[in-house]
Amino acid sequence: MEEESTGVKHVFPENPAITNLCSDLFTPDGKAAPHWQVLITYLNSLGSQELERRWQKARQIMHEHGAVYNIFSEKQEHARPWELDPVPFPLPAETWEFLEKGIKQRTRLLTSIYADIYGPQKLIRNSHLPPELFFANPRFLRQCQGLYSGETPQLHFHATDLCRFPDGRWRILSDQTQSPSGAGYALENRIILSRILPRMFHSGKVMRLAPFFKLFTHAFMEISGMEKREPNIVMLSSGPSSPTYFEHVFLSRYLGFTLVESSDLTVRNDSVYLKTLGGLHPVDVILRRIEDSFCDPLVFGNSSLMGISGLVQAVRSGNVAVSNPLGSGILETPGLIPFLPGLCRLILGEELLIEDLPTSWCGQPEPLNRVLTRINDSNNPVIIASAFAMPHIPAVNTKNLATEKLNSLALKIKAAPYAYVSREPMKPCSLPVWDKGALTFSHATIRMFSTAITTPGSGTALESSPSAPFTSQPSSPPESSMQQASLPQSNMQQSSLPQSSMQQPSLQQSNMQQASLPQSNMQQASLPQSSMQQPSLQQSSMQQASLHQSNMQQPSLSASKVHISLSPDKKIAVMPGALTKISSDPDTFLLNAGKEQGSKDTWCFSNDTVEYKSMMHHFTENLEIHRGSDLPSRVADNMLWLGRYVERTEGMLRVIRSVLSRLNSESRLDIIEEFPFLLRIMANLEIISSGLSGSDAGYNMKIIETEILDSMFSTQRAGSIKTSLQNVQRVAASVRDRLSNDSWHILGRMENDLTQFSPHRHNQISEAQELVNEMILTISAFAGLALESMTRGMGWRFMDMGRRLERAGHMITLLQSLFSSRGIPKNQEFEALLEVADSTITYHNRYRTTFQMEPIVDLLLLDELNPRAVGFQMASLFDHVETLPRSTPRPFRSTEEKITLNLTTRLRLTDIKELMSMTQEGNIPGLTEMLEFMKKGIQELGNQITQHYLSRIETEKQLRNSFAVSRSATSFILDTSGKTDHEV
Amino acid sequence: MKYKISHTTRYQYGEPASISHNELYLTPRNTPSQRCLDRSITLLPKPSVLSQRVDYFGNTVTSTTIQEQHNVMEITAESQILLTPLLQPIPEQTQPWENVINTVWQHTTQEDLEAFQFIFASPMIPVGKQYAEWAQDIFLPGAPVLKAAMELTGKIFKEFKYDPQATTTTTPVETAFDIKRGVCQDFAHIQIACLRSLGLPARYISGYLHTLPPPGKPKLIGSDASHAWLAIYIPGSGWVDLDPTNNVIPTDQHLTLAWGRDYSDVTPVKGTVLGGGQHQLSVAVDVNQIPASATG
Repeated sequence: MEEESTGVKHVFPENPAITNLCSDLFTPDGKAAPHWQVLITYLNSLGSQELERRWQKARQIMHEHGAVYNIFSEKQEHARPWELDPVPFPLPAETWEFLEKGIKQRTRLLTSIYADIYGPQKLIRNSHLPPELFFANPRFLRQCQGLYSGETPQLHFHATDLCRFPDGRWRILSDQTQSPSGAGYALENRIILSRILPRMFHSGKVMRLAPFFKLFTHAFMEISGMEKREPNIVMLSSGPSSPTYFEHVFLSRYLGFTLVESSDLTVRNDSVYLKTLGGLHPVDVILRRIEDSFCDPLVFGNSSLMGISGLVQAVRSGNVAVSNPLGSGILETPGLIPFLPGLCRLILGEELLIEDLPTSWCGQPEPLNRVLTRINDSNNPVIIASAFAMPHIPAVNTKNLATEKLNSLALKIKAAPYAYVSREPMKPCSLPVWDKGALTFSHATIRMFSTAITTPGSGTALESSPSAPFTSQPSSPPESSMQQASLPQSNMQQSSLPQSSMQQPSLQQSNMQQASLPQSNMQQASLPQSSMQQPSLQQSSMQQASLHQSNMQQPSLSASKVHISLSPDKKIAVMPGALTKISSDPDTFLLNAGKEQGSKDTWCFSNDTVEYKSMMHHFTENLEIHRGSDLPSRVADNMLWLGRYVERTEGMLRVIRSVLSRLNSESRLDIIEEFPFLLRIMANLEIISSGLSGSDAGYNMKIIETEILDSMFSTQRAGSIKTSLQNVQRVAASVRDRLSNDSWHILGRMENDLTQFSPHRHNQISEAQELVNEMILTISAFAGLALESMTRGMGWRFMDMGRRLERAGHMITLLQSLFSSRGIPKNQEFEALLEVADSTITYHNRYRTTFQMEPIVDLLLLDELNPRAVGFQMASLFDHVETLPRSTPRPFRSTEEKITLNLTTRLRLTDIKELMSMTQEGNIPGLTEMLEFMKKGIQELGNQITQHYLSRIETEKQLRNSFAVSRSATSFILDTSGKTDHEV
Repeated sequence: MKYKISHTTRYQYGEPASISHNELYLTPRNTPSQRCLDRSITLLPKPSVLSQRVDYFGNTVTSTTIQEQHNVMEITAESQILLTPLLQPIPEQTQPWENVINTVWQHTTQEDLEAFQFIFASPMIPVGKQYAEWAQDIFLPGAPVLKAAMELTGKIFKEFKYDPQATTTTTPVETAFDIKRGVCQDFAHIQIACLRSLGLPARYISGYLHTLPPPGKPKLIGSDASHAWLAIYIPGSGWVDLDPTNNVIPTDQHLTLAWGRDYSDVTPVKGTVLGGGQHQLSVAVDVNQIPASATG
């Protein structure tokens, strides 16, 4: 509305002085680059205000999708929303083609290295790779040796982080080869952007992401030669505590894989099974989102709760495929980087297409000396990082370290040089970023994704790999980045240093190095040694140095060639897009420090017209019709609790609302007849302490107010509204993949309410009452939508059972609170009861304004038509337990059926007059007994359902390791008669 | 010399256990000095899955799954071993220890390359200054490697107190090193930590020790023990075993089960269980020499 009156303000300024920030945006003659021009024209035609408006809409959509980076982090109470910049990152067709080729090559190269390292280890035996990169590397999991006896296991999900640098070159920062995250966020970004900038996609030049995911799903269907038409594929998540849980949910839905956690899976007979309500279902393929060492507590000895005991053995038996293959974390070793150009020539017979960020491995004498010199050269800072990407050794830039720290770093490097790499500090290019209605510039990296596929798909991103090593060079890439194969290498070539210079630095500093570790020992020891020994020491270091140099420089001349070929039919597909991450601080990417500030959609332009495909496009094969009734037991349990928590919160809110409305009235508390009764309910529901009800303090306005506010806002109290809402959120988050988007939307609102829930802002009772009103609406809407939008499968049944159990229990507590004092309750008490029981209107419709015990108890206890009555809950529960899955058909009723039948029958056979007959003392023994009976029965029913259906959730725990005897034996005697034989 | 070994591990559960996965390093490996003549592993209740394979270090590992409900799990490993002690190098005549480091870092032979991986820190054994310094007065420049290593064995034997109550299987090496107490596993780990911190290759050995009863008393059943010691690599000579718990070079009474970088690589029995509540663990080992006449 406003924008029309103010006119269109261009998004991109006419003559920006930003050429030096973003070399890609303008051509050397100062014109916008063609791939940017399209975007600039379009965004300028929209204008700043319209873009801002659309961006706000995008944020809204993401909020509704629940796109967050972390749902329940330990430190923050609330999740960080996923940030998307509305200005995409366009990649011209030539760049995309170059990157695609380079990534494919890299995936093939890493796959070959994996196959060799966990197989014959020819690369180590023939000295193409230094063994310490693996022997000293905690990521090298010896338990995975020979795990895959047959075919080379493929990297089905490989992510590569790249940057474009001001020299126009793309360089690779790192690879993610275990369980890379980000593809789901890239997909979410595309979905959002295609909604706010639809016209850009109609032009038909931006490549679609959907075909890649189609190939990806196909790849999973065909993994490990499974010939099943519908293999059972699961995505193994670490659960809602994972920072990327949103993506787990999003991707598993999109790909159609069941989202599971470790406790959902079990290994029997060397096969993996999913624990469901109906029993154990075999699992064929696991797409894992947890790291190698967390996958199997039995084999990797990790004491965390994650992992599936026996998984490694199941993989070894070939009964399940895990992707990426176990142990693939070894490929994330930064120490490998300097060797990649040589390995690429050796294994694939190709030059490495995309170079890495210049990286030196300190395990070689020359780079080590160079690094040690540079550490003290403040004019020439360098990044020092763990060669094995160990989290406890974070990457540091020497320019950020004080002298003291630099010295201790140098000592650490000298003690174990093989554990460190140095990397060149470089600033990645910047991109224009939309920030508060105007463009600014931020540094950017992109994460690209590739997958190994078995059969040719229809996607454009396909290319067969060479079938034999040492094939001729592929057609030259469109960009000139091949000329300089790799920096570390060229540095090494320049510095064929004389012998002395290799040892000198360490000798000079030898008083600094106290640690008697390999390197230092050698040198220290050599000092007092006879001259006979010295040459051999020097020789050894020289050999060591020359060994790797020669390999890297002239691999084709190497005496022992390594033949590691991929199966000829293996192909790699690259996602024609990427997750662009932006930050104003370049250290974010190189040091993994600082904060990522957001993301961008990445557009790969095609020279051909891209066929339009819906993002939610589904496969062409006919899917078999499922009326799934099987649910993982853990999900059923969470559903049950979700139903319970929602109902419990609603019940509490209704009681609190009734109390608040009386506190807000003009009457004094001591003349409100029903007030003690309301306090009694609150005490019985454990909303307030029981001491308050029935004492004089119960009439003290100040005390009551404090108590009520506390019962709403306190996070310390188990029974507070805030705690209950947090429970709802926690449980809902863990079954997020089962809830509709609309339910999520409401849950997002509830989170908003929760944030506003602060006793400081709502210290007025009247404001609290408004808030409670809103909360009741929100939570009722959530419960209604969650149940209404769900198929009437087992998930729905368990959620509704939770709800019915809780509601029945709640109503019994209300009735018990009313009839706990002798005599006929007062009219005001009846009225208050109907109010908190949400049955006022029904009662007045039936009985007008006369209050009597019998009709009220009938309406709230026995009635099967009143959705608030205990009778109604029992009838629903009876229906549910009858349909729960049975492992075997039985002639007899199950325990839970018996309990429900017993309770329902009892209610149905009740004569209300008899039940309510009052003794002379004013007691109603029939009702008291009845309520107690129902209360116990409902509790038992809840326990029984849990025991019968949900006990499979229990996870395996580790046994104590055996080594006990030498501890229990106090002493033992060694026979020393046959003393050691010596060589004579 | 011929030995018969019986090793029973028993888990008694407080509540019924429904499924148990186990990995067992209970099959003696063949070594230059030892041949495993006969071996068997029996589980009660009967496992649904039982398979064997050779691990990264050449040990035989057994994977089993018990899937029936049980209150007790009993694992019995029995074997017969023929032990032919090898001649050991004369300690004083072994090469200077610095040469060992040098040779292993060059790893030009297959044996050297294999030994190379035993110089680094491993899951349970750290390397560090304090261990190297503790051994520095023994590993003087040019000292013959085996002589120095044996002196280190003696130093641990002398300065550490055998105290089964002081540590558990998961006590870190740092702690045992600080309190100067522990059992064979701790002593082996500590000596390995010292050797590796100096740059020398050392591996952990899990096995048994043949013991004799005090003079005049009968040998008690189940009185033997799981034992642990270590070996150091000397290029040209191979691996030489060292037992810091008893201050000897093992010859004819140490029976090898398996070796690895540390205890975590070759834990005799490890497993996970579903259900079971609290459990009690008991182990009984018998190592008996078979008289020469019986060997035929």
